[in-house]
Amino acid sequence: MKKRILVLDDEEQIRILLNEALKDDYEVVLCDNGREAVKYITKERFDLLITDIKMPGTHGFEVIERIRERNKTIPIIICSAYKLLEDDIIVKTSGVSAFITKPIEIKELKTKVFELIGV
Amino acid sequence: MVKNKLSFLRYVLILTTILVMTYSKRGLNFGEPAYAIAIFYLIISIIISRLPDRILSKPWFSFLTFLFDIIIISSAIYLTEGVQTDFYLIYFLAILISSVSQTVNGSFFIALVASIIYAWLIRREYPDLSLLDSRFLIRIPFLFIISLVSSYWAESTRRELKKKEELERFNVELKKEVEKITAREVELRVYNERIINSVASGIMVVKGNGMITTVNPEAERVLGYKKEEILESNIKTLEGLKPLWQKMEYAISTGKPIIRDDIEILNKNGERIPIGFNITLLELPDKEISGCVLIFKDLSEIRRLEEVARQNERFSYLGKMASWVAHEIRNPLTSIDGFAQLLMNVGDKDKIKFYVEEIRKGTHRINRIIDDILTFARSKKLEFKKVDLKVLIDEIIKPLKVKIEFEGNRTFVQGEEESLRRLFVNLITNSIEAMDENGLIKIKFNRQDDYLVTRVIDNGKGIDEKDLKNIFSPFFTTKPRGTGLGLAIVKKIVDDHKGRVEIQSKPGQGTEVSVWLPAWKED
Repeated sequence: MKKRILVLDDEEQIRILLNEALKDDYEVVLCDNGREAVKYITKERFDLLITDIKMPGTHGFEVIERIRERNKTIPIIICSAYKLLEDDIIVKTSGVSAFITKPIEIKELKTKVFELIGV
Repeated sequence: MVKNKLSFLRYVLILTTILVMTYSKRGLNFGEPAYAIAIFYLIISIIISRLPDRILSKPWFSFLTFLFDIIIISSAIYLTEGVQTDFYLIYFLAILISSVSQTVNGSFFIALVASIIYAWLIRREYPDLSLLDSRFLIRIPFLFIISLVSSYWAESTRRELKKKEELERFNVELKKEVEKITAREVELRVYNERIINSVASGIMVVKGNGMITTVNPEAERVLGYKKEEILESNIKTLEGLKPLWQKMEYAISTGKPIIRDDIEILNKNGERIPIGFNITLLELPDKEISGCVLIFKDLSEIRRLEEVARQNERFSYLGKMASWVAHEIRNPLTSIDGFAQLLMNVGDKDKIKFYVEEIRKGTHRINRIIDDILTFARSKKLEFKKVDLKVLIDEIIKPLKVKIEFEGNRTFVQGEEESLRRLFVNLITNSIEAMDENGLIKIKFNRQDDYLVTRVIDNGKGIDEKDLKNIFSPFFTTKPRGTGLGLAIVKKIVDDHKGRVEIQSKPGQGTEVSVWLPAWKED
C-alpha cells in the first residue's frame, strides 16, 4: 500500500506540481485551505503533510498547531515562498521536520520525503 | 466767598455806625447808653460772624440779622440824637448790604421797617413836620428805591453766579466723565491688543486699498517683517505676499469671506511658507466693506510631519511590497521551475504538453503581477477623453458568462479609456468571484452635479466588516488568488481622475461599489 501524503497550498499550480512530482511513489491528496486539511487529518490516515505557510484565511502555523492537537507524530514539511527569522523558532517548537523554500528542487524534496517516510 | 464778603460789609456797616455815632450831636461817651449799644452791637456782630455756615446761609437768619441791624442803628440814632445829622445815610448802607443776601421781598420788608422806624424817629423829634418835607418825601422813597434796585441787582448777580457755579460744576463733572471714558478706552485698547498679541495664529488687518493696519507678533514671526516695517504700508508692495493680496481682493470685491484655504507665500527672506488661512470681511455699520481680517497659521511644521508620515507610509508599503513580491512571484516561479525539472525526465508527449502549459501559465501569472505593480506605481499623465462607460462595461462583460442589468441614461465621463477599463475589469472580476451561479450584477448610472456616479452592485458573498477598512490598501487581499492590488489600483485610477470611490457590503447579501468620475459636460 502506498504511503499517503496530504498537500496543502492555496496555489493551484503548486498543488499540481507537487502532485506530479510525488504521485508515482505516493498517494497524494490535495487541498487548498487549512480547515479542509484539519478535517482530512482527523478523519483519515496520512503519513506526511506538506504545507504552505502564507495563505489567505487560516495561516499555515495555525493549521500545524491544530493538526498537532490531533496527531502528535505525523511528519510535516513546510514549503514556503520565504522564511522569516521568527519562522525558525516556530518550526523548532512545533515539531516540523523540514522547511523547503520555493522554488523547489524536486530531487531534494523527494529525498526529504523518502528520508521521512520511505516509500 | 459771598459769606466772607457779607461779613466784611457788615463790619463796614458796624464801624460806619460807630463812626457816625462818635461824630453825632451827642457823640460817644463812656458810660452812656449809646456807648453800651455800640459795644453790644460789636460783640453780637462778632458772635454772628462766628456762627456755622449752615445757619448763616439761611435767608431767614440773614433777614433777622438785618432787622437787628436796623433796630440797633435806629436805637443809635435815637440815643445820639442823630436825626438832625446825616445819620439816615446809614440806613442806605444797611439796606444796600442787606440786599446782597436778600430777595427783593426781604429787602423791601427791611426797607419798610427802616422807613417806619425812621419816620417815627423824625416824628418824635419834629412832631409838627409836614409829610411833604424833604426828609420824608425824598429819603424814604429813596430807601425803597435803593432797596429794590440793589436787591434786584444783587439777585440777578446771585443768579448769574449760581449759573456760573452750576456751569463750572457741570464742566468739572464732564471733565471727570471724559477722563473716565478715556481711561476705559485706553484700557480696552490695551486689553484688545493683548488678546490679539497672545493669539497663536497670525493676524493681519488690511484696508480695502491694501494698507496694513494691524499685525500681531505671530504674523511678524511667520512673515519675517517687523511691525514697524509693514504697519501703514501697502501689502501690494510686498512681492512675497501678492498671492495673499489677490485672495483678499477677491474676498473684498465679492463680499464673500474665504474660509479654510491654503496658499504658499514668500517671507521677507524669500523662504516659501505654506499657510492655512481664513479671510473675513470688515464691515462698517452701513454694510460697506472697509477691509478684511486675515487669520493664518504657519503650516511648515505640519507639512514636514506629513512628509515624514508619507515617507513612513512608503517604507511600510515597501516592506509589505517586498514580502508580497517574494510570495507572489515565487509561487509561479516555483511552478515554472518545478515543471521544467519534471520535463527533463518525461518522454510522454501529452505530459510534455501539459507541463509546458503549466509553465506558460506561470509566466502569464508573473506578467500580470508586473502589470499590476506598474499600474499601481506609475504616475503617468492621463489624457482625458469622452468615454461612454456603458459601452466600455458592455465590452468587458461580453466574453464573460454573467447576467448584468443597466440603469440610467447619462453615461459619459471624461477619462482615460484604458485606465477606466482596468478599473471596471477589476470591479467586475471581484463581483464575479464573489458570486455563485445565481449571480447578477447591476450597473446604475446617476449624475450628481459635475460627477457621474457608477454603482457596481452584486449579490455575492459580501465582505466582512473588519476587512472593509483595509479594502483599498495595497497588498491586502481576502481571496486565495488575489494579488492584493485590485482595489488599490481602482482607488489609484479614481484618484488620478480626481474622483471618489466608496464601498458598502454586507456578508451574505452582496457588495456595492460607487465610483464618482468627472462627467462629460455636454452629456
